[in-house]
Amino acid sequence: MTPEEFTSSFDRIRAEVRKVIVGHETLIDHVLIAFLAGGHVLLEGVPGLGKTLLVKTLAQALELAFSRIQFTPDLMPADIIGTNVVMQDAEGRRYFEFQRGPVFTQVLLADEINRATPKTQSALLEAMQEHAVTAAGNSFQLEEPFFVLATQNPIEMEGTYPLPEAQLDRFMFKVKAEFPSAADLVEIIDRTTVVEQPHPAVVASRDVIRQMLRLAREVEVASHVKAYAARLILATHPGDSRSANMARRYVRYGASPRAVQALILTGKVRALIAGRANISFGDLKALALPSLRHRIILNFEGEAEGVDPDAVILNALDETPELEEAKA
Amino acid sequence: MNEIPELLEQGVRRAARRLALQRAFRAGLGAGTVFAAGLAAAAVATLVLPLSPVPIGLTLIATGSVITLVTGFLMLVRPVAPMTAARLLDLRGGLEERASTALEVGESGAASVLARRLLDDATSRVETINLRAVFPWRLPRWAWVMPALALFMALWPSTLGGVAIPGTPAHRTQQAIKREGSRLEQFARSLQSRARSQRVPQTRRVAPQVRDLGVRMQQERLERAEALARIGELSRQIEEARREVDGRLRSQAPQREGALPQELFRRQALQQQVRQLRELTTRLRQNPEAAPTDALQRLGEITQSGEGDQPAQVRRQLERAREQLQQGNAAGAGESLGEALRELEGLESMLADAEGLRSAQQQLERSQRAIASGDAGAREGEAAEDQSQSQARADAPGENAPEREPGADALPPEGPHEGTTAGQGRVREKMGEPTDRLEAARKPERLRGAQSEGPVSSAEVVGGGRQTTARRKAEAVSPTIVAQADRAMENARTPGRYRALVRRYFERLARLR
Repeated sequence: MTPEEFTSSFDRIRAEVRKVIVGHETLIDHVLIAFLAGGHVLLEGVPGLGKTLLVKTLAQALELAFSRIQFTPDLMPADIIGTNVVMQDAEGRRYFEFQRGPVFTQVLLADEINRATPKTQSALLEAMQEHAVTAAGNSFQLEEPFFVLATQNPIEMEGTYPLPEAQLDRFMFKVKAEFPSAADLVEIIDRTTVVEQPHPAVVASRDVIRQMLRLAREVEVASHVKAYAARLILATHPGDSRSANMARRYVRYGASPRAVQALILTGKVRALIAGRANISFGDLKALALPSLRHRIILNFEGEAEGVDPDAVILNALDETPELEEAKA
Repeated sequence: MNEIPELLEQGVRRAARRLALQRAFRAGLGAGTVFAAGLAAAAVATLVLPLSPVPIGLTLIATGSVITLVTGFLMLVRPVAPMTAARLLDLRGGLEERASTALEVGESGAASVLARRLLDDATSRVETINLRAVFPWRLPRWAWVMPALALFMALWPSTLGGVAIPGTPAHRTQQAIKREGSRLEQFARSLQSRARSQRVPQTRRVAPQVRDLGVRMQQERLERAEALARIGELSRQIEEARREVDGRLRSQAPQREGALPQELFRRQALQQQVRQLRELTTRLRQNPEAAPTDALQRLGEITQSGEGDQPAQVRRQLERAREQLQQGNAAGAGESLGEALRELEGLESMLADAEGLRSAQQQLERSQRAIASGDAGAREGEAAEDQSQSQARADAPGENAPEREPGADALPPEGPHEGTTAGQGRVREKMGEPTDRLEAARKPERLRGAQSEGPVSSAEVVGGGRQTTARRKAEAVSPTIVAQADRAMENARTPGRYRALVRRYFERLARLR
């Protein structure tokens, strides 16, 4: 696959998704970038913004298997990964057969993941990390590509089980779904309250997706760009000599090494989308917020003052120069 | 294996050269500013120290040279690495890290599809980039300092140039300049007044120049170097004039081995001969029938006393006069003696001219020394001047140190009849050299009394000797003694008429006895 083919495929996918989803251009781009980088996305937004529709549309456009899990407090791990069921053959002999759960798919929507218990959450998160499921001592590999889009409702946090930091760290991106504008609302009315509703067509096969995933990893990264990414991560750590002011004041723990992986992998995809064969500083800056906002743990002062992690990341971007020698 | 395209390398190298030059120029500008600041500080230091500020033209040239040299040196020793240039080119040129990534990829020899695409993309972008727009020449924020310093140096001479803070070495040097200027002016005035009565063209030409210099030294704000330069220039002119006069003197001097006698003594001898000749010539004109024997004897004495000093032309004239006297041709002898007298007077004038030039040069050299050494030199000059006087100064008995009146060591002002024969008034025909102070013994006088409050000043008063009665009887003396007395009067520069009076007095005494 050539970079031009990558770009045109991406544009087609994006256009197809936008045919169904009104607004949320940045959200769509981030979701697609994370998908093509081989990562998973945590989507935070109030109900009714089209989160399920987005993932379903994506799966349809890419001809990928789609599953949806609505997380509730009584959901069990087996409800996600599957379980052994007793079966009887024609001769009346009983045997155990593993019934695959909804996680055995390619595009999984984990709705309101923070409603399930930590045990149930961890079952999904293992699948996200390993792309495999272990049940009754057997390991079952999930089919590639495997993409999870988990959602959180930011307004109904009572009785929920917030994801621990270690689990949050497994999501490549955390994106926020903003409420649509008036014009977008009108557009939504026009598209969804009529007889003829848009349906996404298949615009890229699984093979194309796999090629896109592989090509993205071939994008070149210069040493000083890598160094910049590393300095950016360190700027979020309060104890580091290069830490930014706000990080020093409001952060308890900064971003983990998974953050720099996320930055670089998603940066590569963005570079290809822009028609480049190399990552630029702009790519990293554009993807810093979704890559880092869920990985920064505020201290008591930060939480008491209601500091937004986005502000900490923006401060780190301000105080981290791209080049040390550019100062001269 | 290096896979970097040539065009990409060239573009990056061009960027590196431009960056290196800008960086070196910035450092050179900094060095030049520091250099100019140093020169400006040196100019300000002239308020305290007797230094000379560097002229604005030289300042600009020197600063420009410093900037150029530092820039060139840094360009050679601190080039910008291609990778650094590529990174800055990406950052400022909006290339989105294409060039720097391409350089790294090219150096590593990567051969993937994306690597080749990157190299081509970066090359095409770098080729079309405008380096002037990406790396424009920008002056640093402190660049205004250098023009400000240049303006300061340009305005310094006309504003604070020559100003000195009281009590500092610079002020003392300026005081020394003014003091020497005053001294030179007064010396020049006395030289001019002496030159009026003599045929000393060079001295007459030089004296106003010395006076003008003295006036300028007092009125203008001169730096030490400038004052010394002006004194040196005038001294050179005087030296040239002296050489010319000395050359003419040598051409007239008799050929003999050994060094010429000291000018002073030679001039005194000439003056004596001139007086003698003038007297003899006058006598012959007034009384041609007078005894030629006496005239011959006088002529013989004149010839003998002037042996070795008289030019050949004068000796010939004297010899001719002697022959004419022997032949009884007093009138002819008087003519010959008159010609010889004119020759000697001319020679004497040249010597006077040379002496005037020499004294002017000595004064200038003295001023140079005093100014060059500043206050200490001035004090030493005053101390040397005190020591050169033979009379001890009258010290007040109290604790107040006596102060010399201003002008006490200067030459006395020109009197109404100075330069003429005593009692005659100002006349054109000169009967002799201007009267000088009578050579009386100087006795220090000490004033007794109680010292009053306030400053004590002292001035030298020169007066005549104490009058006493003679303690020796009159007795006959030999002609030799008479001749010796005559010579003694000549040496004491007693005018001819006075000598004649003295002789007649003793002759009358002898007749009365």
